Amino acid sequence: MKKYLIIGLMILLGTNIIALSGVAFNRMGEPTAQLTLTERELSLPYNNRAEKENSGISLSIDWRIPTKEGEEYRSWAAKEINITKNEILALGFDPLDMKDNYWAESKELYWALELNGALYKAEVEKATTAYQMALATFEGDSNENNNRKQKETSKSLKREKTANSRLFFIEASADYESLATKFSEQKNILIVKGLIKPYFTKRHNSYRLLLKHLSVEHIMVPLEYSEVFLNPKSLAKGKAVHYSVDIKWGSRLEPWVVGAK
Amino acid sequence: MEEKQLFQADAQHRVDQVHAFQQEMLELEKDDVLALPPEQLNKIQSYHNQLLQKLSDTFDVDTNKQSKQLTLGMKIASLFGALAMAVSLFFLFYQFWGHLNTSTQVGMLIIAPVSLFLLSLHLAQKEKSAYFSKIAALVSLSCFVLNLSMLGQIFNISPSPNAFAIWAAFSFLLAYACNARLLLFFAIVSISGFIAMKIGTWSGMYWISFGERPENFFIPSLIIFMLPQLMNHKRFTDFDPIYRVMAMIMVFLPILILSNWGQISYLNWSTDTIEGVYQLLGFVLSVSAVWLGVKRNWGEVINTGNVFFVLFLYTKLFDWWWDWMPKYIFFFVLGLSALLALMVFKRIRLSNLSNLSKGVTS
Repeated sequence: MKKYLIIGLMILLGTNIIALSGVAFNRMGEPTAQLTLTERELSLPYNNRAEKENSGISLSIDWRIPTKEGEEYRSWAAKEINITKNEILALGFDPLDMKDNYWAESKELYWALELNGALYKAEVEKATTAYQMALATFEGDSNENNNRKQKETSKSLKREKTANSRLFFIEASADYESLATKFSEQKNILIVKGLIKPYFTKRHNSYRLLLKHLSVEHIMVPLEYSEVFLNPKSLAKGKAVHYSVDIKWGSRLEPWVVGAK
Repeated sequence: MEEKQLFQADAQHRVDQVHAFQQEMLELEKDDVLALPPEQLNKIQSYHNQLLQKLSDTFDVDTNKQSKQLTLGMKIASLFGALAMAVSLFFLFYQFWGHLNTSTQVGMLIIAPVSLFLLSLHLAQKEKSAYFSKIAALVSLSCFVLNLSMLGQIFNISPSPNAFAIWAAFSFLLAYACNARLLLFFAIVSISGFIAMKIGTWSGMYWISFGERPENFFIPSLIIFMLPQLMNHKRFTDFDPIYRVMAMIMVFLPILILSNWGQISYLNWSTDTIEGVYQLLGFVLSVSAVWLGVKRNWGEVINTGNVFFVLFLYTKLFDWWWDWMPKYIFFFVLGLSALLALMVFKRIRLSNLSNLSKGVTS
């Protein structure tokens, strides 16, 4: 029984020591990124029945991809991008699988995301253009359909300026260093790990990259910052809750909250 | 505790043997084959009574039918109790963890599995039948699962397959310390999952996607099947059958899936070829399992082999005939195939019986 006791304690305590050392290692030294995200990029958990029994607050990171070239502005787009065969090979995927099976298994790769940068500004411009075009069409022919469309685009533009996430996917790489070097001058760049699945679409005769999800999708709010998110009056009335959260990402690209207001 | 575990299964076997002897003696007396003098009968009866009392006191074995039924009830109650308490712990922590600071959360997450682990070892030493130690052990395991998964959430740690290896190691330890089959089941599931995840990772996929290639389970299945051959489980109740059945499920289910969806195989052949190969492999392996089970006297291997042979056969028949055959003929053919299987088994059984009678007469 003594050997069970010793081995068991070694497993229980040893695992915790290793896990906590990993956390300390991640937070040591200079962070790889430090950003202030707001309710636009960090959403509160849905207040469903299961979540009601969960007193912890975990914010999920909302990121987007820009509207594709030549396509109409959409506030929401499928999280996939066009890619060439060579680019897929550069990401470390096997070309044979693509040809025979039209898809390859997901891989965890490095993603570069941009906060409130050129991609976001371009998206606001696209939303503005879409609204102006819809308005011009409505002024030319004020039928019900054109009226509805100009109202929708007006709402979309407003949402784009005030509510939609400003965190945009830029590119993926199999190598962290190349992304870090490429974006070293920009302070609004976040490099994290995420899952990617390439596939071939016969319909469009092209390769696509499905951006599945970030490896760490949620960020836990420690008790000392949770007061900001516990605003029962606004939650009860269904009002929009405004907050901003300072987050650091460490050497293992794992985030932690350092401030909230 | 170890000495107790060493003999508990043997003691129950001895009790069953005594009951079988007593019943057979009654039958022999009734048929006038054997009639022992009353003194000898009394001597045997008194010896058996003493023996049963001693075994019951020392090992908490079931000495009669009612006791056996109650034991089964206790086992079921302890299983449900342990599972319900494990789930309750998860919800309890979720309910209150938001009101605790990080260091308190971490402290609680570490102390809970450690204290329950110590309690389970203490109870395993004290108890004769170890019901409460098994419950404590299962709750300790669930606390440890909660411990690592919540640390992951609290510190936003990237998910890793290594957690499954750690959970497997702790489950194995508790299973062997408390002679608990349910914990062995969790240990086998965790370690097989871990090996399959690692194989998936080596082949280039993300570890969570390990299920996308069912062949990832073949190597863990082989390892799990071989383990009882390398380890002596005499003092652990029904550990060998659990290893073997789990291993067989892990090899037959992927084969069944691949025999119908060949495109998810690692093999770089055409889908039809892959499906054909796995269908053939399924039949060959399930028949081989029945043969091995008969040869080694492994009832669970025979039954699992039979179940999967029928599954392979019926999925194939469904594949061939469901669309074009009228349903009444389809089910009639299924019935006929069952009758055919019955006849085959009857022939095997008769040939076994005749071999047995030849052995007795010679």
